[in-house]
Amino acid sequence: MLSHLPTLGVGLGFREPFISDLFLNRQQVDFLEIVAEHYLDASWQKQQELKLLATHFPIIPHAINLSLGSAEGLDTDYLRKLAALIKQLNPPWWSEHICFTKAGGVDIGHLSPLPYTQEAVEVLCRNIAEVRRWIDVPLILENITYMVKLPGAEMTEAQFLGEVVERSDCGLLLDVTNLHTNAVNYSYDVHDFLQQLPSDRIVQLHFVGGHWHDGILIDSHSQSTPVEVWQLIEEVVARVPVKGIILERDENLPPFAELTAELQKARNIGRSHSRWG
Amino acid sequence: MNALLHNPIADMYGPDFLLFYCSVIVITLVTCWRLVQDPTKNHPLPLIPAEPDPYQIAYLRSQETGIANVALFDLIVRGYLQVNEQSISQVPNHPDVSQLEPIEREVFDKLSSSSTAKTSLWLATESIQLYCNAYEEKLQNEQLLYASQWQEWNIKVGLIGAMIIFSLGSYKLLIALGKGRYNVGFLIANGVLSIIFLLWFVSRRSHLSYRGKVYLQQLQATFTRLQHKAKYEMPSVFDYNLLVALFGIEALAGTSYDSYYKAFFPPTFSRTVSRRSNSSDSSCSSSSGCGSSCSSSSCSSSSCGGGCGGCGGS
Repeated sequence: MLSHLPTLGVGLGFREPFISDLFLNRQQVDFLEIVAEHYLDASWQKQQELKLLATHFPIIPHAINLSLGSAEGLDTDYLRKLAALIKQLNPPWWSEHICFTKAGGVDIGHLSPLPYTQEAVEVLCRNIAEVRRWIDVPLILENITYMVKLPGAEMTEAQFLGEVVERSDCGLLLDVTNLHTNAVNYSYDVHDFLQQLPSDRIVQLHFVGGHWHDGILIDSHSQSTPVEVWQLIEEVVARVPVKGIILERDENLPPFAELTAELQKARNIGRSHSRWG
Repeated sequence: MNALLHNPIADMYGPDFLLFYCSVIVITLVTCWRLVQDPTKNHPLPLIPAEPDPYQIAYLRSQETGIANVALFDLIVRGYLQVNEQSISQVPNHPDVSQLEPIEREVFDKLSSSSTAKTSLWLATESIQLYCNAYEEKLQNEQLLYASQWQEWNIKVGLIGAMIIFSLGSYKLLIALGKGRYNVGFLIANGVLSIIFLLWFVSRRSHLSYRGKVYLQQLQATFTRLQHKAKYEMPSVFDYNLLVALFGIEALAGTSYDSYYKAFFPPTFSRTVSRRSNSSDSSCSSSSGCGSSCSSSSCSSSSCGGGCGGCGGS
């Protein structure tokens, strides 16, 4: 199901402040990932912006607030708008997070972890089946970082991720930085973790750097990619025919040349394993 | 002959004819308006090039003057020309001219002696005419400029419309005068005003086609962050050229090249006085006293940072 997806190469999470530089360095960016929420109830200007981006780059919509892990089900109003956006863009795939952002009708405003239980897997699969009724474009699911581990786990995080993507027949958007962040904060072996993941399901990667706060590594998307994350990227790309990799810088935006240098580094890693040109 | 003098139009009662005439005028104007629509209205926009050409964009925005502005400014940023208060001159120890593009070389050679900013711009515009033809042709091929044949078509449409209005009005006027009726002022006014409006409408000259206007707007929206970059970051020479091409010299106000902006738009006396009197205003670009520290050859190279420090309000 996933092997037929096209290889997109090296891309960038689009953020409005660097639109000028993006177009001045267009040849160094193969595709863009947009935050779907920015364009769901879009103003005329945002619609024009999306049109402009879509005519110049392949676009992957990245949703944040669908809340696939909500036991109460999905917000159909949100889902309808998301489906319309994805239909408009007709991407090769789209992505969401394995988490919940809404509970009891309240928007938490944060990607919150799920308990690693069969019940949570069931909830996710049920919601994903509902999503499929609206959106027939392949969905890939992203691993998140967390500040708290929910008690009552019936499996490890890696097993949980694997179970979800296998049972729901989704791809995996492996956020390498999230993986590194969790491994550092919870002292687990990231290589063991990688071994437990269904590697044939990995479609896309995310990478960026975070910052330290009171001894905790925060996934703030605010720093350049650390060496440990580069090593992980190298390891994953060597093992898996990854279709695309996205630099996801949000905060503390550096001169654009720094971003393109990171993209070039990711490109070189892909090239060395014949994943992309 | 009888049919010419007696037919439904000739025999039509005055107010009825005026109503009929107004309807004909409205229908003619609407038809002409529809026929002179820009043929590029539904064309998709061209892609933004991976390497935009500031000269081409400058021509799109403001023709020869735009190109001259970019060329002049490029020579200043790269250290070939310098701004001294209101004048522009060659830098005595400028870099090797062999590094210049032909268009820049033309402008550089033309400015062998110091002249005011506006004269320099005029001289630069004079010297680049030949190069403009190539840009004109390129943009014309992309249907970004309003083609002369469309203009000719518009004039034809306007003349036919005017002829219809004129013929009908004149015919009725002659009939009315022949019958000894002289209350024809409203008829004449209607006809004359609508013909004037129609001819004005079809002869409006637009440099850009609809596609060109929207494309320019798209370019400006896409690269609008360059304005912020020029003020608060360190843009490259190319960024600066693109900025001037897209937004004109006005976009340099408050940047490291504020002196160049001021050479074209000198601060007015009253503004200078009011700013001088405001001791809390420490902006470099505010008073002529400070302006000099950032003008002259200090701004003739890209090493001029955004600082112009030390011009406090005291």
